This record gives sequence, structure tokens and C-alpha cells, in this order.
Amino acid sequence: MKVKKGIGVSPGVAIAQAVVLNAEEFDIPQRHVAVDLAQAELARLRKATAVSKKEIQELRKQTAEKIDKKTAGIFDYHLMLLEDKELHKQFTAMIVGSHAAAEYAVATVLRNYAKLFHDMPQHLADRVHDVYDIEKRLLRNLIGQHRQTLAHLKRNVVVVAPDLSPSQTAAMDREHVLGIAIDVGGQTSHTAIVARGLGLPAVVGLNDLTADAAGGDTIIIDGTRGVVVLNPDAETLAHYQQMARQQVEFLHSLDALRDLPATTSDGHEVLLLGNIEFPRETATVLDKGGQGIGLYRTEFLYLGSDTEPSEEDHYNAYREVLNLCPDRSVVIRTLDLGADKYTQSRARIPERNPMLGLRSIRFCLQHLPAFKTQIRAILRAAVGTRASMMFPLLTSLKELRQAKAIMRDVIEDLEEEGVECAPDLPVGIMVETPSAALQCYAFAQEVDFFSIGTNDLIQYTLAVDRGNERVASLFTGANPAVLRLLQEIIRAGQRYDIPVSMCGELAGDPKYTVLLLGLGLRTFSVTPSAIPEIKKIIRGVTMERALAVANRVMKLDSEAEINNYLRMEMHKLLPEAYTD
Amino acid sequence: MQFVEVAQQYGSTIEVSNGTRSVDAKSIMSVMLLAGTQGTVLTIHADGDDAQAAADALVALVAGGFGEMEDEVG
Repeated sequence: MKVKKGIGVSPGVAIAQAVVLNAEEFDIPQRHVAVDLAQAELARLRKATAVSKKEIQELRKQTAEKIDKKTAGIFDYHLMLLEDKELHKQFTAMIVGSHAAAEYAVATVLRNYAKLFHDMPQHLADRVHDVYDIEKRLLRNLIGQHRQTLAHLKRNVVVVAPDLSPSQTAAMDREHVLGIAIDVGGQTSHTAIVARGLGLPAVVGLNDLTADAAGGDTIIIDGTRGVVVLNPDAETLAHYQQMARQQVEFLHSLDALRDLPATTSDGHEVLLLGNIEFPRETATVLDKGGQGIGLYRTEFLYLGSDTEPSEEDHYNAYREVLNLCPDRSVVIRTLDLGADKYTQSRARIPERNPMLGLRSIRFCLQHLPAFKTQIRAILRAAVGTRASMMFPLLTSLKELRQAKAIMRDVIEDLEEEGVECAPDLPVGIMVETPSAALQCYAFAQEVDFFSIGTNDLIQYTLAVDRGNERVASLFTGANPAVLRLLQEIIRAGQRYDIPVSMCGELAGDPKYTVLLLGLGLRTFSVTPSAIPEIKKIIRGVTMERALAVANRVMKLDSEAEINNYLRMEMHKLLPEAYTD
Repeated sequence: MQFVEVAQQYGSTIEVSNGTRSVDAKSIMSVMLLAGTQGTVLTIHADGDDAQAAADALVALVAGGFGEMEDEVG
């Protein structure tokens, strides 16, 4: 048994066999073979080694011809690795001694080496890539064409990978993938957002889990506590199985709430919306009982392909959602790219501090053609709907005025061209920087609504990168400074009579629901899977109680006290919820 | 890498040790892991017909790169 601590990004428990993906998405089909097959496995390994050797020799030849002899030298090194006596001694020991399948022996032994190199001084640590290269080559020659992707799985699995690309997560077989564990990433990584959207337990930031885990290992993902257990002992397994059963029962009990309104027990109406990243998630939001879309992220249009999306790509993606929500609120957020690794890896010169760099509205204001294309598509798609548009990451009124001026230009163009559009669609902003929060009374007079983005607001207020495991524990909404900002933003909305919603993660964290109600929040936009739970809390509390909780919390001055108090309150309303 | 290549040219059994662990000098994996830290004193132990020649060649090779060396022929 091995317990590894990471960052829990999507709550819940999943127990299944691991599919360990490397860059080429190999999955070890089986770990062990019958005793009398050891010789056959050794023969398979010899054959795969011989084929690999030929491939490398061919590569060396080509490289020497096309580039030069020196560069081809790397393949001499690969040949030495491939034929290493010690390596084959260990492969043989595993196959003969432990009845390992050849693939399993190769993966286990080489990953063990990779791990050893990983901890060495830099010049040797880089050798990890060569070890992985040899592993991939041997596995490809052992497994042949039976390369497994996540699209068609035959059994329930937990996916273990260094990282998952948007295309990998998009193609994932949702029937059979029960949980996700990846080496890199933080709360706001793409994988985290997708996992939460699907309601899959997920842990990220596990560093070298892929080196420790082998395909077929039994693995427990505890997304609530950010823990992964490899090959659990019987007691641990039983404990988690019990927890998983309770989780299923609890989720079923929430189904009954689907068609009931999100109204407090003393009759105060709350608007409960869903956040989506892909159009197809709209159905999930409605199915979970969400009343509309409070945050439609549009980055997928850019991340999924190598070319910039056309106006029609934008338009179609918006219509797809709006057609499903003809008379419901749909808030489309303009492009929020910049700090993510996709943009950074494509940038000519990566920014030194992308979170404080050219991202979101700043990026849009410097890339006007792309920004105008998106605004055009939104204005056109919004005709006859309740769609609205939202700008992210504002820090000054000037940015808002610029964005609105661009929008007016676009409307003029459309009207001149005689293209039908919705010039009066509501325009709001994400309040997610301390500077916007502190100027909320001024902003409130120039926009139609606010939506509070808590992830960035907390990050910038507390100066914490929660993807950095060394400081991630400092990232909390329970900080008095953060709560003070939330209170002010909601008050500004009340003063100028504009709706205030919250689409950040705090809105979907059941611990904060009562407090947020008490602070005056009336619109919650949450990840689809969290809708039933949040609804249950709203329906179970009176506004009087919520106000009392808020009054009490705003008098506390330590995160620990606030956390404990909120947790205690939540357990009164939602005793079944499994939390840390 | 060159170290292992040279070792592989000799028929003798060659072991290289860092004082706590002794590994096959002809295994690149083992040698790389052993040679992880600079400043380690390595001992070469060769056994066979061409043992002395092997040890001499290896010591000559790494004297510059790995720092101090001792050799021992059995």
C-alpha cells in the first residue's frame, strides 16, 4: 500500500483499477500471467527487444545521414540502455520470479529506474526521458497495435497520467472512467475543471504518481482530501468502499430535489445556475435542476484547435447552448485566455509571471480582431434569447469603457450591414481582482450585473498560487479580507440594483452556501455536479439563520475559526456530505 | 557512457564500487546511478585475463571526469 498526497480538485471517492497513460497512451493490459507462461513471456520480450533494436539502428542511420553523426550518438546510448544486462536481469527476475507479464515487467523496472534518475543531479535527471523513450518503444513492440485510448474502455478504471490534454479529456469514455489522478496541475487546471464538471473525483499535483503506479494496480482516489492510495490494504479498501457506498446513496437522495425550486425554507427565492466549459454540458446542468447557465466559458473554442475560431464557430457554439435554454439566463464570458499553459507554450516569449501578465480582457484589448469576432458572434446569437455578455478580469474602469466602446463599434458595423443582432443585451463584468472589488460602487453604475469570480479574487487578494503545493494550503475563501471584499461587492449590487451572482468555486462549496446567502447573494452559478447539493442546503435553511451565520462570521478574525464554524453549520444541514 | 563502452570491450568481469555499493561496470544503468554525485571515490575491480589492461584503460578514461580514482586488480 502506498499513500500519496496531492491537491483534491473534485470531491468524492473512486475505487478502480488504474489505467496508466504515458504520452503515447499505453495501458498495460494485464500484470501477471500463468506460471507456465514465463518462458513464452521471455520470448516475447526478446522479440520486442530485437525489433526495438532494429528500429533504433534505423533511426541512428537516418539521423547520421540527415543531421550528423554526433546527433545520431543519442541512439547509441539508447541501444546501450536497451541491451543493458542489469535491466534484462531484472526483467527476467520479475517474469520468472513473480510471473509478471512482459509489459508489466518492462513498465515496472523502467519506471523504477526513471524514479531513481528523477532524484539525481540535473545532468542525470534528464536521462529520465531516455528511459521513458525505451519504455515506450518496448511497450509498443510488446502491445503492438492494441494501443488503448480513453475513448473505448471495457472496464471501470481510474485514469493516471502525467497530464491530460483537452482532447484526451474530451474523448474520455464517461461510462467507465471513475476518477482521475495526474502528476501536474492545480485547482484551476483544465483537468480540474473538467473533472468537477463531470462530477468525477480527481486529485492533481501528485508529482510522480505515474512512476509509482502500474496499469492494473488497484487505486483509490479521494478527491475530497486530495489523497491517492495505491494497492490499498484490506482495511483501507473496506473503509473507502463503505464511503463510496454512502456517496452513491447520498447522490441518489439528491435526485429527488431535481424539479424542486431553490428556495429557502422561509420562502426566499434563489437562482441556481450551472457553469459550463463545453456546449454539451448544458444538458447536464438542466438535468441536475439548474435554472440556466451562469458562466459559459469560451476558451474551448481556442484550445481545441490550432486555428483561430471563425465567427461562425463562435456563433454555432453559442446557439447550441441558447437553443437548449430559449428562455433561461445564459451568461457568455468573453475569452479568458493568457495565463494557461497552452497560450504560454505557444507564445513567442513566455511570460515570466503569466498570472500578472497579458491575460483575459488585457489580451482581448490587444487582439482586437479576435475580440471583435467573438463580440459579433455573441450579439448575433443573442437575438431572441436571455443571453448576456460578461468581461473577465477587469482592474480599471478604463478597460470596461474600452471594451464597451469596442462593443458599440461592433453593433454599428452589424447595423450598417443589416445583420440582425441584440444590441441591448445585458453586459456585466467578472469581479475577480481586488482592484475591481474595491471600485465596485463605481463599476456598478456602468454595468448591468456582477459575477464574482472567487478563484482569481482569492489568488490575487491573498497572493497565493494554489497550484503551488508549498503554499496551496494558504488558499482559502475563509480569509476575513476575502469575505470583506465579497460583502462589499454584494452591497454595491444592492445599492445600484444590479444582480450579483457568484460563479467562482466558493459558490459550489457547500460549506459557504449559508454564509453567502446571509451576505445577500441570491444567484449561485456552480459546476453542474454541485447543483443538487447546493440546492439541498438552500432549501434547508431560513434567511434568518443565514443572516445570523453571516453576522457571526464577519466578526471572526481567523481563518481557522471561520472554517470550523462554517463546517459545523454545514454538517447541521447536510450531515451526509463527505468532507475533509 | 564511454566508461561502459570501454568496459564492454574487455572480457574480464569488471565491477565498480563507490564504497557502499558495487555494480557491473558493463551496465550503463547501474554505472549511471552509481556515478550520480561528483566527488565520490570509485574503486574498479577487474577479474579475468585482461583485467589489468581493462582497469588501466578505465582509470585513464575517468581520471579527468570523475575525480579521484583507485584501482585494484584481483
